[in-house]
Amino acid sequence: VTGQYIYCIIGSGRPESFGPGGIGAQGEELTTVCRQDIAAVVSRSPMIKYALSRDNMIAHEKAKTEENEQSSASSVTSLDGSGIEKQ
Amino acid sequence: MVVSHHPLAKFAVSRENLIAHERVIEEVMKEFDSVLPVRFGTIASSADEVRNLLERRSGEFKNLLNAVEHKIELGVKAIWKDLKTIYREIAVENKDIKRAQGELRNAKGKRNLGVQLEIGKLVEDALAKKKEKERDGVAQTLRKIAFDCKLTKTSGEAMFMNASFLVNKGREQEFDNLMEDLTDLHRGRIQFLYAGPLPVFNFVNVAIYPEEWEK
Repeated sequence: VTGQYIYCIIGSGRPESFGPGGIGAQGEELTTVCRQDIAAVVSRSPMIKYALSRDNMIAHEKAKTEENEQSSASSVTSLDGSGIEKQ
Repeated sequence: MVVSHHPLAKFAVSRENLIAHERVIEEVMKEFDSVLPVRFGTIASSADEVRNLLERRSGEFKNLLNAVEHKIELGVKAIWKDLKTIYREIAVENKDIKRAQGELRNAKGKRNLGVQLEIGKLVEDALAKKKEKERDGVAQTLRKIAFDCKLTKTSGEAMFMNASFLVNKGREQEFDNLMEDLTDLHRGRIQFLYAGPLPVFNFVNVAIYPEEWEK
């Protein structure tokens, strides 16, 4: 059974396409579902339950932090330690 | 159909999926000036359900879209480069710690667990206060050109600030400059991790609960 995974909401009244790159291994097409002048950006996805437990949120935060720190380390090096650069 | 009634396939909440979710929102942000992030893992059973949701909560969504229009999130973490220096400062700044350390020295090698524990507790409290103070100093500087600021939990001993700032897109360069100034000012003492522009995750996070689909 296929559902619609929702990423975000935008103010748009017409169909939009953002190419492939949705969540999951297939890289589903990103499209919108509109209702008057607002739209949800969605992609097809199996109906699965993403358990939104505290542990998952912590994993999420950790992944983000690691990403920031990794990229930060490299940019600082590239700037010869003389400054910071946004990721 | 309701999400929660569906036979569930366990889905690994992998790093890839979490990053993919955010990356899509970041892509959409490049084309749209106002984007409301929806909480990770939200799945409707059909396009009709999505339309129903948009209709039901259209007032709320429109208000939020207006509120975050032309705004971005910038993330700043501040980390002390050398904790030894910080602990040395704490010992100098704090009378009670100095006194207790003196007592310990006067005990001439005799173990005094009570005093040791007292010092440990005093140092811990002093560190928390010092973090707060330095965080407020840095945040105050950055807050001047932000609409809003959210402080998030820090991680590790050396991090004293983990903050997100809601900033007008037009003032991003100004914020960059402030960050450069802060970096110069605190060179040798503080490492800043600066990230952005990000979706406004820490200011808007639309949550849609499974039971809502039924209404």
